[in-house]
Amino acid sequence: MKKGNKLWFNVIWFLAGSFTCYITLQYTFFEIDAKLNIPETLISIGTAIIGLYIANTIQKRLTKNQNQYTYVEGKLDAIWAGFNNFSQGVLYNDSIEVNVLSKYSKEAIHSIGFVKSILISYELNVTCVSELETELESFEAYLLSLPISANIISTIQSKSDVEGKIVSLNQCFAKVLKLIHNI
Amino acid sequence: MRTINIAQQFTLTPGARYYTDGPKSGQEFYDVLLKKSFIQSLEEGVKLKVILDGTDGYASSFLNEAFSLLGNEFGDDKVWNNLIIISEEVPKYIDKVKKSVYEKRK
Repeated sequence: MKKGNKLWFNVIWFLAGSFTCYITLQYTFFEIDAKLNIPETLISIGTAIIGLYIANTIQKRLTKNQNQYTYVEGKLDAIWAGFNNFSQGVLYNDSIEVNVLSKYSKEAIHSIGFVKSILISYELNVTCVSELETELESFEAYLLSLPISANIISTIQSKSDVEGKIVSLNQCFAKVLKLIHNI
Repeated sequence: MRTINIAQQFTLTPGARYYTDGPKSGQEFYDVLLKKSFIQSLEEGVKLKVILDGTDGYASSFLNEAFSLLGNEFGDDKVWNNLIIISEEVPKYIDKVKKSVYEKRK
């Protein structure tokens, strides 16, 4: 916008503002009463304090819930990301080392147990977390039931089964995430 | 009290169930270390402490094979009452060991 145009624009808005003020000041409720009404003033102050207290309490509760949500969601994200890496490795390779499976299981079992304890302390229904825990243990047991040689599990004959179990586990993770969203 | 520290005395990377699955299996652990130590602890009238911490983790089949063999050989209650399992890293392993001790093998 050019400089001249900007000046006219400001002048028009100034005049419009002045006109609005003039019109509104014609109403009596804008007139300032010099007398002090004690009961009304006290009621106003009381109402303002109660309002502030309610706003503060709600804000604190919201912040607390937000912190709990962020903490647990971060934990679940880490476990899910770990499972994703692990399952991708299982899918893309035709085999997996027993040691890699044991290492993943150790981390996953421990972390899910921790998330479960936190959710129990929030008094949430943790059925889906227990389900996820059981499914992960079943998945580990299933992989260990496949042919093993030199501590290497061969998954080549059971790709579609493995894939199906991974999809089911991802659905379990999604259920737990939904539960965390309810915090 | 006798002590077995699996990470120090057996391996940092335990294997699967049977000898045929590869080295450091549950079966091997039972034959090489667990059975002998348990017999010695019974003879000495002391408990056997098994420390599971310090390894990369255990396949459930490793723990199941080793401890179900022990439970079936010596009797579940006798084994469980003479064992102290230490697993601070993953306490759930203790439950797995207990279930294995009380598991009846076919």
